[in-house]
Amino acid sequence: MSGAPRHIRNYPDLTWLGTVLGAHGMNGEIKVRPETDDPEYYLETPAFFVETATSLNHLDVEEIHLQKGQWLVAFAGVTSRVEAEAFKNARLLLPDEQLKPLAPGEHFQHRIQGCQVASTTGEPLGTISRVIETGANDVYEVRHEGRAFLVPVVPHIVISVDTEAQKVVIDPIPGLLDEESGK
Amino acid sequence: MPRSVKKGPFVDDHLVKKVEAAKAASNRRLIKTWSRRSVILPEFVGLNIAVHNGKQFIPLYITEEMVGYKLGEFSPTRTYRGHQGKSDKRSR
Repeated sequence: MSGAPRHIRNYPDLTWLGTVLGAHGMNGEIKVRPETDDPEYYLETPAFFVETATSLNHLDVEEIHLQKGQWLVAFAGVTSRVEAEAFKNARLLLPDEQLKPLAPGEHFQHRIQGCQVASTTGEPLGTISRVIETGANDVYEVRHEGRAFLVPVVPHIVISVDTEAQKVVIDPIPGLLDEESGK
Repeated sequence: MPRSVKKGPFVDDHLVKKVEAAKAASNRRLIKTWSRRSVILPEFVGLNIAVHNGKQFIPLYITEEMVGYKLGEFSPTRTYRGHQGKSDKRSR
């Protein structure tokens, strides 16, 4: 449970919701960096799965609140700072069915990565390798045979996203496919 | 100290020329620029502008909410790789 970064395991029915940064105060609270766009939605969560380097436990939440964009969580049975420090770098996970429902037109980023991109004429353009958050529109990085180009996620360019079929259809504007930056 | 109001917002001349040309031709071609320091003007709304981040041109669709900010604020220069697993991060 110590500081070194470790390989991230993916569970088929659990989603990563936060990473423990360390202990907070003397009474066993822990400070968690939310890995979600809407941390306020999960303030009523009764329990989390907590994954440490060696184990995965289901812990009941006594209290959770937001402070400066981070969660302060008090788990039942964790009453001292020493016990709380043992959770450093642990991950908080939640069953998929307890996640905030997707809004229309919204998709999980991990479901978008790996989708095949095609133009409206059916021409294959590549595979989405990552999603870049810009503060304005999101941007898909699409890679194909060593080259990459970026696609702004706006309705007049990204025509449809089907994460079940792993397919994204775009209508590339002139100049969009010019860039070459496969480094 | 903030910029003097009488000067108006700063926009690089070469970007203004590109924007005016795109508006005059009313084409949807992506405008590429290195000018991260230029302020987004109301005239830019509805255009597709790709802003260089030192490595790539990040394509942006300019909306009303972005007016008054600088182009560079929407073109991140650092890569955060914290969400490689199955997390609750969403895109729309």
